[in-house]
Amino acid sequence: MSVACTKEQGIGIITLSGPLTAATVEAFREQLAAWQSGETDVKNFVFDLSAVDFMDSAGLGSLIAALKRITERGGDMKLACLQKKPRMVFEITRAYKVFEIYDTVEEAAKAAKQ
Amino acid sequence: MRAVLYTGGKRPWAEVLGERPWALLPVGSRPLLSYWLELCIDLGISDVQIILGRDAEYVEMFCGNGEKWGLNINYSFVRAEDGPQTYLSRDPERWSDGLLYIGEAVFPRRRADFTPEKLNTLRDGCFIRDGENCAFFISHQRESVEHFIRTGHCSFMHCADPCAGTEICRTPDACGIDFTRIRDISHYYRLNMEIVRNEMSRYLSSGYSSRDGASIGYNVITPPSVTFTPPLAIGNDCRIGAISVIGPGTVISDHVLIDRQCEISDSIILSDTYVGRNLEIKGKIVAGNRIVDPEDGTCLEIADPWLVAQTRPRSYMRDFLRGIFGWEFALLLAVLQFIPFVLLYSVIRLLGRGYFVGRKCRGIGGTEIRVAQFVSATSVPCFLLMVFYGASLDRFPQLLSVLTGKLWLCGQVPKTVNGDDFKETHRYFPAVFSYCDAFIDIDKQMDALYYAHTRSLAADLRILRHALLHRLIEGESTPGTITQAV
Repeated sequence: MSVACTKEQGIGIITLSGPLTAATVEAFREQLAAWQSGETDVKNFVFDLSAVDFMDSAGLGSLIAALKRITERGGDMKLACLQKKPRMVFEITRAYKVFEIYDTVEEAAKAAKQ
Repeated sequence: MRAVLYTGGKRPWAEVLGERPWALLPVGSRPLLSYWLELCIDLGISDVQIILGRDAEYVEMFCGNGEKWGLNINYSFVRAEDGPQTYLSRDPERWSDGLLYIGEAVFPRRRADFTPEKLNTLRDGCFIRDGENCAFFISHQRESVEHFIRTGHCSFMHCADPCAGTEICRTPDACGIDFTRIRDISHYYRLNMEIVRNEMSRYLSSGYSSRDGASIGYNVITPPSVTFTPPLAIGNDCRIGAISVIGPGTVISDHVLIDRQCEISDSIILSDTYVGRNLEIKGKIVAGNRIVDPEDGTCLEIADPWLVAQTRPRSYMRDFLRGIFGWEFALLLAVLQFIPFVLLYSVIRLLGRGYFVGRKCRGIGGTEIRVAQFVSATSVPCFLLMVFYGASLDRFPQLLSVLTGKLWLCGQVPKTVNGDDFKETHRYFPAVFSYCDAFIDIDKQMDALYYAHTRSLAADLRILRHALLHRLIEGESTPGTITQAV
């Protein structure tokens, strides 16, 4: 699992690559936390999941935890480019009701700015 | 006339659904094979030969000797490299009175005007081809049967060339049946949805009510808070948890556990599947721990057994190993607890803080036993009792029951004796520690069923770890108390 973090127009774009599972959530959490601590002015985030081909309940839990932390700080979190298999996990666990999911990073970033 | 039904080989479209035999996959409320057997009955056939393949034991378990249908069913094998026609050609004389042969995933779909009498028009050389294989053949004429066995083709003069790309050679419209060959997973899904929504009344289905548009099998237990929205079809031996919403357009096969607060619609849940709590299944096929999107065949394998899981068939070896581990661990725990138990319980009794009562329960195999349950005489928190619970010393007498073979170490909460209504001994694992001790917010009955179907050494270790740790940290009794038998 690799996590690439960039900032575009004040919005944090977090690009994840690889499966987000129980084996990789720790690495995801650490990398995200490290970047967030260095960019304290970034409140809104867009998670680009185009390269996440598989996700289990632990991976979903880590996204929910990230959402909780971000919203507690007054920010917002959007998801973009959800692939087929992770989308199925979102559907069956009803997590699609918790997150705002967009087809592209640009749409998500635009919504995050508003 | 005799029937030869081929259930061997693999079907590419069915592989995404796991190891299930394709001939036993449900269409509507029943396995595909049952429709073939029903067709044999309607055609007046009493002798059926089923050619088995890899999953022979499941097909044999389903069909038995055919008594259920009033048929005489026998079984044969062919090697993987030999086709069913190799079997037919071993004894051509046997089929001289006529032959019904089904060799592919063909569903005999009845039209609205179907009657069994119309099947008489099927008697002279009807044939369906699926590429190189024969999907369906029927003939009453000796010459036609011999020609078919020899060449794999229909000899009927007016038959269109089956190799010209057409799937159906000839079945008369007057027979009232459309022989639908299941081509892919999307087709299988659509067929199920169309059958359950519009056509279930055309087939014999026990538990079907045309007024309600629903078919519900036997031993389906649901609490009153479950909502059923027809049309739907539920198989046998299913449990549905509280506040779940089932339907419309739902097909649930046999031996399915659906936990509480689930919503299922326009979906197929195959047999031996557990669907976890608070899930929403729409437009999917769930096969054990696999979720399949029928639109494009995407298959997602879920590793988390609390979401969806394949329930396990009975395994004597697995239970034997669990029993050995449980016994040894119970012995170790009993040895460690002996002296602290004697000391602490003596003081607790002296101070009148608690005592043991013997409750009549069902032990292993359903035998009546007495299980010692600790009862606290005070509701005021007490350091002595905290230590007593924290070290799980209240379970010491029950550990002795494990050593004498009356209880398992990990399993289900023992049921109290309640008349003669106890029947399910093959799924009953009364134990000292259960999911109720390991996790809070538990639906006891559903968890007992979940354990029965998914038990394993890993599950036992998980229960032990959580139960002992929880008690050690909290220092209080856990809700794994003895329940009334249901």
